[in-house]
Amino acid sequence: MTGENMLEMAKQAVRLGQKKGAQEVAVNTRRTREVSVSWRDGNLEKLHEATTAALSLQLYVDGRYSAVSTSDLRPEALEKFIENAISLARSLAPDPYRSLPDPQTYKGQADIDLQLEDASYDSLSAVQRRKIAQSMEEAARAVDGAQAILSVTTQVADSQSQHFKVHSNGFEGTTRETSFWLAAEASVQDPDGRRPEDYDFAGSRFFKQLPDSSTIGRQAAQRALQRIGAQKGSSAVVPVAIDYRAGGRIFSYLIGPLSAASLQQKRSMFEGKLETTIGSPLLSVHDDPLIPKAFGSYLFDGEGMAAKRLAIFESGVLKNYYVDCYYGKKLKMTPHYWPFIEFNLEAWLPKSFQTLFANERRYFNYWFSWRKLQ
Amino acid sequence: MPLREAPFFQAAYFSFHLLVFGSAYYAWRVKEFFYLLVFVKLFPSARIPLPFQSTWLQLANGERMNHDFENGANCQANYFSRFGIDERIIREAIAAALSQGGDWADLYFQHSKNNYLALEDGEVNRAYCQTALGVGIRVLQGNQTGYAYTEDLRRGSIINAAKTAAAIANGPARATPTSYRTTPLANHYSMRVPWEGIEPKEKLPILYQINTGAFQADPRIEKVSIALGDQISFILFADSEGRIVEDTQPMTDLRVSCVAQHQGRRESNGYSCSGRAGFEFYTPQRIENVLKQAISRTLILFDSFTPPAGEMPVVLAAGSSGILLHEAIGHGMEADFARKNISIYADKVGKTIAKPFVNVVDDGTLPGSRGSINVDDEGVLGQKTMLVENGVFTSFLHDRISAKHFGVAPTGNGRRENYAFAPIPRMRTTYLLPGPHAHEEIIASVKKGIYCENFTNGQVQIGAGDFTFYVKNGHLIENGKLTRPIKDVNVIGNGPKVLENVDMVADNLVLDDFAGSCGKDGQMVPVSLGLPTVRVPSMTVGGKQA
Repeated sequence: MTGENMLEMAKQAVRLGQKKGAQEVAVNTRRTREVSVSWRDGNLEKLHEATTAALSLQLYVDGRYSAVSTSDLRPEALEKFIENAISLARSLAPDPYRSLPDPQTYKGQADIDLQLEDASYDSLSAVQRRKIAQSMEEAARAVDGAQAILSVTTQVADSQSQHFKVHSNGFEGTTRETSFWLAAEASVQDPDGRRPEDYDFAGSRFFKQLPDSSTIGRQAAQRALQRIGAQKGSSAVVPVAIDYRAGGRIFSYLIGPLSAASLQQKRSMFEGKLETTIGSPLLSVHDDPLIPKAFGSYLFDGEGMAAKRLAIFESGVLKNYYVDCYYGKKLKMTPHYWPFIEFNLEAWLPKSFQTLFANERRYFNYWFSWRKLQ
Repeated sequence: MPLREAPFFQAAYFSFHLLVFGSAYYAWRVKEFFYLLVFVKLFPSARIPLPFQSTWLQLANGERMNHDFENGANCQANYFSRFGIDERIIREAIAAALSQGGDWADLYFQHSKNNYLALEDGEVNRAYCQTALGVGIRVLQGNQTGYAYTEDLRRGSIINAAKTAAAIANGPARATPTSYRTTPLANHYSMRVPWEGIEPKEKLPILYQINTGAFQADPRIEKVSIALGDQISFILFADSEGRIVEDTQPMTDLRVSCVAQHQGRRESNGYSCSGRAGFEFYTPQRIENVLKQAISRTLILFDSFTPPAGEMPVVLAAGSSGILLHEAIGHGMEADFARKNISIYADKVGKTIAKPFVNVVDDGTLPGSRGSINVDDEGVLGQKTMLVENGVFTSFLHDRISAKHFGVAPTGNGRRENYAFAPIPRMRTTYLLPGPHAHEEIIASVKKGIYCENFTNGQVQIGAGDFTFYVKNGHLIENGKLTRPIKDVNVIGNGPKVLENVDMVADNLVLDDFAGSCGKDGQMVPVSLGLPTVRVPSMTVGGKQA
């Protein structure tokens, strides 16, 4: 199915939803091609390839709400599917906070080319993927101390996708993106019998911007070898330095409670803390969805709102929550762009966002894995 | 999909933690960690506890639900029309898959429907449905796998996918079957009242009853969130040996999360249950138990404290503590790790790895269990596998690839999240058999230690065996008695060493029916687990006053 078909399908689904009785409809369609090659210990381990398409709807029916998705795009199945979804919504309690966003929030998209798609995606061949995967292993096995290596697994993966978003109140958006990934993992023999492992990986929107594959393999092996002889330390209260690799995990616990859903459901340690100091003056975190070529960059969010840069923490002061339309209404807070992914709506579109450490000038992509269910 | 595209992101840490996204997380293909036991969770910032005890074994009756098929040359598969295919397409697809050689090819057609109803702020005002339809095509060449899938089930797309998977091999076409026969299955599910006939209005009272009951139970309850899910998955599997297998896999889960406030302090906790069952799963007793557990596990946190850190005896409560067995030990017994020579158990088959009264089982045949399967996802019948027998490591958990590699029979552990993934060795319901000691005897044997009742966050390294787990609920043991409730404690150790050191196992095995899914290689599968009360004489406990 072509991109044009997917866009038309989204528009048709909106019309069909309205025809069947929904007052408002939001539809997403997505088409993705993904390829991966895994290499292990001198041999090709696995080839994986797929081209998929899917559709999801949010339906607002007589003040009620349901969200549905399907990969069964057969026309006869789709019509029945939408009918059932509307029937399902009608069986629920009304929810006065449910509606599509105010169309005003769709306006003001940044006038910027985010450069999310590598136009040369199709030129990457199966042979190239294999050679890169092989080269990562060779680099891993060339490091000092490599005789302790038990196994090296490497992977080259890439994807190309198109996403179409249509709302019955006027929003229409398209995202085209590519991604390329290199990864290596090494396991080593510890004299004490354990078999510690470690890894390295890199990703880019553009194939040519991937780092040298040998760096990935070498780093994975060196990290694994450094784990030999590791021992459990004594329990103590001591200063802790956090490697950037742990950043995403650490920040997941910091960012999650900032959502309006967490606030409204009384699950946030940041409730009532806006504009108050909650951390070190060294802590400044910005959410920037407009960094060119970055994985978390988009012109609009899962609700269609125009993406904007957002200060989260400034010198330890909490500056913003992540407020979506639904919980924003419940909390009487103004919704704005947020990178959280809506259930169904963006299930094929795991957005991330760029968290910029203002003091270190180092950013990482934080793959946000939490799902908002609303 | 970035995380799947970057599978080594966080890969070295075989983490499990209580993820907090929507219930539909499980239905979708988003994975955070490689080895991740996910207690699929509906509500932000909450942690899911594991149930205190299980009742599903009493409810499951093992009634047959699947169609039986006669063995024979003429395939009578019932699901051809569901997928819009026929035997000719199967034949052609298998032929295309083996067009470049290959030792084996299989097709995995799946049509699944997931429904969720959710209650928040007193109303069931949101519903979610997902339909997935597709076929995964796999070609094996020795240890190598070619895999492709498509959601377009027209003949041309299926054949193209088969040709893509065929690229793993590089030789002359292999002969393929000219006819197919269906394979009969035993039934390990317990669905008496199929979900397809249940209207949403019939499900609503379950959610409202729990919500009302929670607020009536204690004025400290401030928020209650509930999700009720049901799923039906229709599978048609065909392979290059001319077999067709059909299975209809039901699943249901109920998740309750509570937030309570007392004197300005907030605590949250919850409870979940799940099984391969129909609407009959939700008996009044089960609903009452879910409500009671969710509330009690939340409110006890107001009275709980964080005990001092140190090395001390740790007693694992029967039931949900089986997560330690699953994560810290079970994963190391999955044969793909051994095949790759990265498991700490890789050279341990036939060796004594625990006391003689330690017996570990992985079982796909428990009636109605979330981890049960009539047939695995590569056509091997569901079965029960002894992993550790009288302290001796007896078998890995195999899929077809590892079984062939080691020259043994597959154990029915080749599982996949859905048609988008190739199967790999996965656990089903993993538990420790009852031992010679009494629960009371174990508690009485500890002068000072902790009793762990349920866990949340944690992480495990398969190769090294090292783990940390976060104890959500537990008690202090002082002078042989359970005393004050504890919380916010980490237990730290090495899985194989802990198993080796287990010195008491009680006779009170509890199989847990929590709604858990295990993540590995970026794919989630439903699992279950169980444990009798177990004593580990010494483990590192991270708490206060280190």
